[in-house]
Amino acid sequence: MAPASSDPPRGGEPGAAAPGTPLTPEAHEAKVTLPAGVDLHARPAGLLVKAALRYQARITVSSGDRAADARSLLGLLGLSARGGSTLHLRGEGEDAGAAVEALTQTIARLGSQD
Amino acid sequence: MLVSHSVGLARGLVELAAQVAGPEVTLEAAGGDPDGGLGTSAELIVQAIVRADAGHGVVVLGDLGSAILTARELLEGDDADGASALAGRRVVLADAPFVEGALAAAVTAAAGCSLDEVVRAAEATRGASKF
Repeated sequence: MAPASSDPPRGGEPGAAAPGTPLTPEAHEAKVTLPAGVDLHARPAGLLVKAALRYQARITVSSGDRAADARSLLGLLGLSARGGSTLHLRGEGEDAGAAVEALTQTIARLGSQD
Repeated sequence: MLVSHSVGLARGLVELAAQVAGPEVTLEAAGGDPDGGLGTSAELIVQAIVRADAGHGVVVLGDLGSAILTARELLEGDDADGASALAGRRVVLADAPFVEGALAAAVTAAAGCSLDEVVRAAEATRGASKF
């Protein structure tokens, strides 16, 4: 796991952002379809949690009007997402792009699991 | 490590959690009394903890009542034999619903998270609605 930078640049360094400039975390989003016939039950949800826990970024998974932290098994189960429906992923944090990409691939691969 | 009054309940939950979490986590059951009847046994709990511990520590979840009390007394060192068998091991009893907590803990442990993170994941399932 890459170490997260805990000290955002402050004013005073040459070329640094002016003091007081808000540092917005990188946000990445993706829409991904659950493979047909694969409801978001315990085993697929477990695979998503394990994938999400490899990254520092906070990933929110939305289905319809419900949303869950991708690290929360029970949260994902609570989405009651059906196979063929669309999930919306949103990641915030330093490695959000890689995390969203990894989860997108994990979801796409669910259809080929036994 | 899962403690239940019932051998079947403990083993069934190990089976379910193993399927959800995958092969990266070690799950052990301590169910019933040493004769296979309903009850809880400090001896079986110690054996299961020792089997489960690969050096990173063990999170213990129990079903309710005396399963929790027996595990708690054991981890507090009330049982001299148990205390010597568990000496030097990091073992934490999580205060969490048995099924939900076990699944959340197993998945989190399978992802390689620390003992504290696994305990937090289990305890975060308290109060979770079924629907």
